[in-house]
Amino acid sequence: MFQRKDAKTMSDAALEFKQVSKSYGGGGFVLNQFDLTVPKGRIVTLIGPSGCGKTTILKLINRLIEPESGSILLEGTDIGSLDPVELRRNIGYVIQQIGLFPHMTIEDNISLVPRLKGESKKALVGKVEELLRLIGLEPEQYRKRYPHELSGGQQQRIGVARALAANPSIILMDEPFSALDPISRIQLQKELIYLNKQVKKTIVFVTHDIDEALKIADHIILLKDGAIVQAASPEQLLQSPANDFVREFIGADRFRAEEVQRTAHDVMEDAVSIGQQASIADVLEQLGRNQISNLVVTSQENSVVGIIGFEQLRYSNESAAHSTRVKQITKDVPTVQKHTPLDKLSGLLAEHPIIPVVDESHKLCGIVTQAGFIKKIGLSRERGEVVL
Amino acid sequence: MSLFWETIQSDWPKIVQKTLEHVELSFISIILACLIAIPTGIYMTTHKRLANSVITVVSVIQTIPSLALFGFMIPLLGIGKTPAIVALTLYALLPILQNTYSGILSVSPNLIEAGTGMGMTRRQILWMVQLPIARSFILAGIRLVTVQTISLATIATYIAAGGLGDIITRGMSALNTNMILTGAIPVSLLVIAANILLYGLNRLLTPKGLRQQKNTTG
Repeated sequence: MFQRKDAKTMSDAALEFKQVSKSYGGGGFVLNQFDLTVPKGRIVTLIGPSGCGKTTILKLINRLIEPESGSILLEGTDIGSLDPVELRRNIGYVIQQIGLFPHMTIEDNISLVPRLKGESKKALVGKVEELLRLIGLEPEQYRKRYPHELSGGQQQRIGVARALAANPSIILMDEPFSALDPISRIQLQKELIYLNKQVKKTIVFVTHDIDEALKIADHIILLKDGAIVQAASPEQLLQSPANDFVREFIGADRFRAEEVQRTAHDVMEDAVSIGQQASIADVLEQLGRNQISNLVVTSQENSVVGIIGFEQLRYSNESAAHSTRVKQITKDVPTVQKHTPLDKLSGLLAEHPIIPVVDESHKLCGIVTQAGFIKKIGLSRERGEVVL
Repeated sequence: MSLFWETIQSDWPKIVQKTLEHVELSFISIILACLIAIPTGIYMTTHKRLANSVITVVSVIQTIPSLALFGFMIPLLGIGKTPAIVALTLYALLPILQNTYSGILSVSPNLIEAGTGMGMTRRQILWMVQLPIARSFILAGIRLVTVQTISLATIATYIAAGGLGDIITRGMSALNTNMILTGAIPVSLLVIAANILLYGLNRLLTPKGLRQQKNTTG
């Protein structure tokens, strides 16, 4: 993967699996001669179908499961040589079912690991406050509460804070958000990304949800039957899936959506235009008839000259209305083409109420308006995307 | 009615003495039963094969009629307080054992996994997680046993262990209803008092986070 600078590579990796094997019962291997390198300070997601070994990998790291052979290095130290209890206290652990202790206050839950390490509760008051602020919960309001008084999303925030409390360099998350409702899930995903920009931990995140993986990961490790199928950044994974399995797992639909990026063509409306020579009376008549506030002014060759609307006409005087032709045209109007991507278009729309769409020879094909854009996007977008 | 008051007045020192004997018998038996059943119950949660056979044996004891159990004690331990306490203790085992066992097993495996994964030792999981959460189960077992033991201790009189049963049997043989009542009413009062006491204790000891809902999954 990297150049041959073994010593350097070792110190850069937060975690390494070397030839790790694990089998269950008489059956085949869950993992066979498995190698893995996790870089420091990144969110790495392990993803794959059920039984691919992702949770096994996670539990091997904190020794809830012991491997049959091979070694696992945590920042260069073989974890097999460490006391499992000590090891676990230095690794953050967040599980799907949250696992807050119902008989302990939020404060006691968060401060648990440092207390296990022998720190006094009083010395940890400040730490608890800091962590509660970090996850966006007001310390005074929440510190003395009990887990059942909180929503699922808040409980899992506490779960994350608890994992951070002992200041571990690595945090393991086993499908932490999958039991939450969609709104909380998206919220927590966003928060996790934001959070890790501040705390810069190595996070090993197990999920079965490819959307989640693509959203939060710096690095995705796609597994199947205990072997890595592809390890790549989300962008690389989308752009160059290694094989059909990857393509299928990510979802064929997504590739179509990625290939055919949405463009101006999708939000375009028919244009109402008027000739360059028209009088103000003509313009007003056109605007009134079509119940619109702007017209595209075109030349005889149907190429775009500019925009005219009520905004511009307001400044014209009455006497000029009948005789002269239109002079109040706004000429420096940006135009777009049918294949202009939507993100660029939305930027332009913030400045201009109407944007003409033209073909290669600058001939008018249609227009995009703010109202039309919002309406068409709103119709086709999923709720989840809008929340984001 | 006036005769009843007279009986109480004339027998007052005796009633007090027998009540104290009764409390002593019950109290020692319950404490012993707790000392045996709670650790056994905890041990059984990690040795589930053993659990079934232990619970079966203890259940069999429960099926022996109480009078017969006291009778069995005579050839083994003679008469007096000791055999009575042994018999009462044996009777008290099952509810405490059963409730300790199922109380600890009711603690969600997720919490155990969370605890283990965070670096708690087994002992810490037991004391910081399992026992606090199972506490109300165990106390419910003890409450049941207290009521049962105070009632049963009345029969201990047949093996000369004393207690309020003495007054009741004397009243029965003399066909004296008032005397029977002066023995029976203190038994009932003891049961009610112990029940209220333990209920209060349970409220006091149950952590606030577990009071509103019995949610052990978190």
